[in-house]
Amino acid sequence: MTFIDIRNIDKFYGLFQALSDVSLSIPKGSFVTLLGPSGSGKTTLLKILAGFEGVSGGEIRLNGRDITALKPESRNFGLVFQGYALFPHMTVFDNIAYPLKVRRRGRAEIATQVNTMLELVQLQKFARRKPHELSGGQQQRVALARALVFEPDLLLLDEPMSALDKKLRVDLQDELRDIHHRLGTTFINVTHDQEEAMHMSDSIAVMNHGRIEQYDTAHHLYRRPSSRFVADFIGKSNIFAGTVTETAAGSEFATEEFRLRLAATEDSVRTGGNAELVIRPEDIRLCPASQGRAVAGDVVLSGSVATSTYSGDRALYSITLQGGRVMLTYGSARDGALGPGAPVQIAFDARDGILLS
Amino acid sequence: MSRAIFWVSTTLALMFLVVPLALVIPLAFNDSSFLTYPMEGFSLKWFEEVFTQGHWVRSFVNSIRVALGTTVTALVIGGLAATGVMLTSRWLQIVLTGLFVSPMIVPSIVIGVAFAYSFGRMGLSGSYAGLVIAHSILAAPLVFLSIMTSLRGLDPDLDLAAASLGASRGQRFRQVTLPLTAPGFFAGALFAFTTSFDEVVVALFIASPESLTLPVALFAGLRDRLQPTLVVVALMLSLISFAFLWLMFWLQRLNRPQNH
Repeated sequence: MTFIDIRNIDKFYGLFQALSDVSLSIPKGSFVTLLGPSGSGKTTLLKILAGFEGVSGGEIRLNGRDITALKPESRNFGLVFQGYALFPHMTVFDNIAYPLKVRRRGRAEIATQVNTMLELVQLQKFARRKPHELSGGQQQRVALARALVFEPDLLLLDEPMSALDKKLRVDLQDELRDIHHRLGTTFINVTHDQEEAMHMSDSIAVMNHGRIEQYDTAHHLYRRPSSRFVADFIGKSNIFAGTVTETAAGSEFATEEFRLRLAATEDSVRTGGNAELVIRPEDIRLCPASQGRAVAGDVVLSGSVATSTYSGDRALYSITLQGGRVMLTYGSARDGALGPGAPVQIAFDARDGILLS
Repeated sequence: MSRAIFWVSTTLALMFLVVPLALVIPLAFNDSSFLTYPMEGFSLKWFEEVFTQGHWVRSFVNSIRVALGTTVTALVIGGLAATGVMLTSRWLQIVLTGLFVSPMIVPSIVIGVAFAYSFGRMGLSGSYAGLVIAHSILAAPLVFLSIMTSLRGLDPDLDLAAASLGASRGQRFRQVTLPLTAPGFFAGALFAFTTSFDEVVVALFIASPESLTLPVALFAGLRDRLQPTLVVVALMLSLISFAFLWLMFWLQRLNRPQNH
């Protein structure tokens, strides 16, 4: 039996459908992220899990028990809000102690648990401070401690890092992953940041317009996206629209710029018709024309640099091909980035392409 | 140039307000029993008379009793109303706020006559309960507005957070909502108290000779004998009101919405 079983959830706000037949199985102890752009329904799903909103259809089961209609206070789920929602009139210690106080635990037990949590989030010296005396990152850690101190069945996080700067975000991502490993609590995180999702999660549910597009590990989402939306949303991609035809020698994908004999893989589309081919920038080899030697591959195209983005370790180029199409590829940045207009040749292989029907 | 205008207009306004009081107050210390200038001497005997005379002390005690009763009743009515209205939709909030605030727009004479008539029929005329009810209806709108302001300034996520942590509705109200909106309740309580303590129009219609409040006794005294005792009572009333006003002002500053 799955730990958390979300089955066929529909949610309407008046005539607007926020969630459409959403189903998800979450194993115990895993770290799942709901990933999607604004309006994808991920926050709605989180609110439904927390019990703040009801469902228009479907159910949620925890260890087989139907909790769909359960009030938030009866669910035993921890929640970290986007704005942290720390009680401003209580100290850090009292904030973290609150769920235990509400559950009528003894003073000694409360003290022990709270101090353990303070150690976990490294805020031992801040126990007597009030929330307004803390920085954003510290407040977030207090919110986390408060949500975990009562050993909830599930921890829900609503874009908890959106208010923090990049360096802090990366540090906290690591801390969160560490805490997850140490405690073994099931985590469900909501975010629009796909890098954050990939860093921290065991599996990611990519959502769009109230539906789950794909629910898989980060690796599979990246290498085997099931739709154009997923291919485009996760990582960078080049997507060619074209047609697949059957020839004597096997299937062939054709676009304006090239024809490509498709590799025989189990999950590519065999029937003819329209399809899309996804190539990740890192799978494309780039060679400046000035270097003289040619670049090899199943597909070789010529073009020139439109823009370049230098990141120190490498450079990201957008290349304009002869037909006008723009492609994204990486190049070595050892000698600096290539300037605009520099002629280049790019190549990639069929086996690196991902075919979408 | 504008500074000069500012100072001139402020001084004139203040003089307009203060001079009548400044002219009358010294007569409280007048040795003679007439309210005339020039004063015949300095004396505190009128203060002594007010504090020893039965009916002034009684009416003062009446005023306090009614004001306290009003405060409790108006806090309960206004507090419940404000909490309830906050839970409704935007549109309904506007309608309900208008309704709850409406006693403030009705002239107090109209309210006085209406209560005198209804209480007469209900047998509440001249009673302590009747006066408390009437004053509560006058004071509840102020309490309602004061508590609404406090509640509006509260982050709605705090209640959700407390719920997610396992707190029941009652626990959330007592442990989160109430402590954070306390300034609103205190300010409301003060509004209710001063409204009732100073109120004269409705009390005039409803009170009986035994249940006279201080402002009404003062009013009656004016038609009876013009003595410095009246000025003494007026002075005491003014000082008490002034003290409460100052307290209210101080609490208003605390009542500004909490920021993280």
